[in-house]
Amino acid sequence: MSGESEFEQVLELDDDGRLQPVSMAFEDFFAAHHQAVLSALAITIDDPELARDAAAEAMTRAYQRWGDVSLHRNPAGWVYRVGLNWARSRLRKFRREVRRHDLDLDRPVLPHPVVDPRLDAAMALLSVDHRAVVVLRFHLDWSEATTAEALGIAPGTVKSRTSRALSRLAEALEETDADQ
Amino acid sequence: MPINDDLSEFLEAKAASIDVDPIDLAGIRQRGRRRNRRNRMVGVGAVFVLVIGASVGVRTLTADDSGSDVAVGAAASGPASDSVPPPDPTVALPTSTLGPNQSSTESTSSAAAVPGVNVGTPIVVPWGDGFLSWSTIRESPTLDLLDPSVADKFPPEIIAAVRDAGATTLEESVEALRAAGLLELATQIVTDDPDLLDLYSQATNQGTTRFVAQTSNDGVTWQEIDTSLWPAVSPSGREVVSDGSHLLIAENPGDGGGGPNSASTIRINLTTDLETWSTIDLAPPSQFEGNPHVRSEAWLSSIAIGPDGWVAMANSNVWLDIESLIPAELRGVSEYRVDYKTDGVTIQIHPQTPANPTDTFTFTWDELGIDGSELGPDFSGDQTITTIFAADWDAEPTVAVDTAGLGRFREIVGTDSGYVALTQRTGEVESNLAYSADGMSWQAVATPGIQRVDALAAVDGGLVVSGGTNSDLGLWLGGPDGAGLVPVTLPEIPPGTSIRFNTGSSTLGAAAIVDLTRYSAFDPFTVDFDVTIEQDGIAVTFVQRSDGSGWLKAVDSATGEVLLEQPLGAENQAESPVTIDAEWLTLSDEVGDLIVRLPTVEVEKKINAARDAAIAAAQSDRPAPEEMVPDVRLVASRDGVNWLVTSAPDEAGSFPDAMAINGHTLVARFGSDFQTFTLP
Repeated sequence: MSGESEFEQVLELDDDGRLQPVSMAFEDFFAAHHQAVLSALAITIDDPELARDAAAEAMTRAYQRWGDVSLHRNPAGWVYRVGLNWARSRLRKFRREVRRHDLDLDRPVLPHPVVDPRLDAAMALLSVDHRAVVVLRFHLDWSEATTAEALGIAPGTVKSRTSRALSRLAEALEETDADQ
Repeated sequence: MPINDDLSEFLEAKAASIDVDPIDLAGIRQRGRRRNRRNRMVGVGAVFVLVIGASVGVRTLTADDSGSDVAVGAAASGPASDSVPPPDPTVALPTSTLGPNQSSTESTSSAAAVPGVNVGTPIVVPWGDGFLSWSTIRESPTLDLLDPSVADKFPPEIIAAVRDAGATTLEESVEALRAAGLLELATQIVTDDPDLLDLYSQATNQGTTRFVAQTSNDGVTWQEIDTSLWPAVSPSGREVVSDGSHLLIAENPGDGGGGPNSASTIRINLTTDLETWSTIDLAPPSQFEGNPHVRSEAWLSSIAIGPDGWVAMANSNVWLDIESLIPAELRGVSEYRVDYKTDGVTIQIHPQTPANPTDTFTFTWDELGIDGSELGPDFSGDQTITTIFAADWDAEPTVAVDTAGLGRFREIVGTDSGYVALTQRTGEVESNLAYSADGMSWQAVATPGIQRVDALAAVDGGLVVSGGTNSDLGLWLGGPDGAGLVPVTLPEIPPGTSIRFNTGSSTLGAAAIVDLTRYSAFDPFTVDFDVTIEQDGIAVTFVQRSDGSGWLKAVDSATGEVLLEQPLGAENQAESPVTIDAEWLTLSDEVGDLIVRLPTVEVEKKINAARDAAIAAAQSDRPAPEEMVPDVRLVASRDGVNWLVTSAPDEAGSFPDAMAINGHTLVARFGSDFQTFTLP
């Protein structure tokens, strides 16, 4: 393996003298990562309930095939990606089926007292793709390489999406400041 | 300002502000187990693991763990479960006749009447004009019932069902629970409780096992046959194929491989009368013979019967013995990193941490006596080499030639004119076809319109292929050489469904179980609703339909006269009688006179409320999230032209363990029971 990664695999010899990655127990993985995956998904798709369902679905799939998933360099990245894809599928389906009945009436959402409402509003302007790189890079603190691997995109794409997302956030904040 | 300075802090606060129920590990495990169990129910090897203590029977399943998409197929091939004890000639019963249990409807069930429970994957193959089937049976042990420590874990109705039936054995308890409709519940309780599962699994290991083979002319009436002259067959790595007059049982005898250049072998057992057998051991040739640094292990991959003989395919895994390359004192105690390069291999020893290698050893391929190109330019530690053996009925098998450039052979089926292989080229996802008349010389088969082949099945006079493009999967029928494939339309099977055939029946037919089961959470979710708002003597009704259409209608409440009926979606356009702004929704008649004005906010609120109420009502009528909507089909044909598509047989809460086709009859085996279907 090459490239930076926070999830360097530990290898050990098996009985036949072949190197094999050492996997951790699913329970340990779940305890260490489920909350981070859930919060990352919730921020990315901006829907906590859907994020919870997505995280549960992704964790279930990971549990079903833990023998394989555990050998990934970053199982949490795998779970995040599965959850994100699942949530997007649900969002597409939901939009397709409900939009036709929806008169686009925005409902008021009460801001959380400790969350910067300016950044919150600015984040909402980003696409899901851009929010995903922001969340993985700045919330989970993953490197570009690990983020790229988790999202299944090239590191260069992570770099460009991050740059554009940060620019967009800065622009939105400046507009907000100018309005005030 | 540098936005990323605040971003991490914001995201941390945002994450902390998320107010949602946590994910529950127990729930994840339970759902995963439930799905795995469902998936396995579609697998090849449904096997009773009888569970009883407090008189509870449980059917769990083993073997195929391939996932949820598809299915298993016809005839009799496939690896046996590791739990299958080898048939032991010393314990085989002498020939005896079992009691008939006969009927003659299109779908006919019969019991084999062999006391005991299957503990391995049953086999069914065509034989003569009928069928041959075998399995390993475990005689049910007598059990102590009603141990309170166990009985307390089950609801009273389960305990009562078994007690009232007077069941004293595992098998009797299962039957009692099945008859009471409680077997699924009992299964769920046991599989969700690791302690119970362990306890009952131990119980199932009691009792003696014996190998039982039976024949039938019609799939309904079965006779047990003498197997005392059968070869001992190991439980792992077994493949079976029959064309009705020849039976091949192939296996990897013992572990065979693993040591440096160990000559692991493939064993072929062949009979034409079920009494006299010939045994042929095949050793895949190794180009690294004698090299102390290369290890290899071969395993059986596929066998097939053709018009004049048979073929067997073995895959050999070849890998470098890294331990042989490092100093003896470091063997078995060190972690190390291995980098394979085009000119050799480098090994870094990490006695403590990967970041601090203390020793590095580099070897060129020449030094190791290996030409790197022999292992392939992308060699990364191990490599698989495929060997195909081919033989006529009266000749010694030889290694096939002329397979170069065709890619890796994944499976082979025998057809009326020769053999067709499913092949895959290195680095490509798509699979292709290759054909050989004699098993020795192969050439690629053109498959226009088919980028990917998922499975093959030989049928009378041709070949059925499951595949297509990634977005458009289906069945195709071609000649016995795989050429001239044309689509087969099965209206009952949705386009895009991948169908996996079991190819062990040689030229006698194709069958598969196709799982179209869905989860309710993925069901389409649509609602209809309407809402009426009264204003100034005018009733305005807004209607939305799930097909996307919508309209409004204004009616004079006093007279009932319809003043305006207008599709939604063209508001505010020129000539539109409906205009909306932030304050008012205005309706005008055809000459532009005002009909009524409604407050926009009020309209939005009422439409929202009606929509939410309709969604809530629709959701309340839906099955609970994740509830299964089972839909499993049996798809079978003897000739690829005429197909039987019906609900899959579900004799005892699971799908068939094995199926085989002979003529117009399909036999499905469930544990000890059989069900027959008439094919068109």
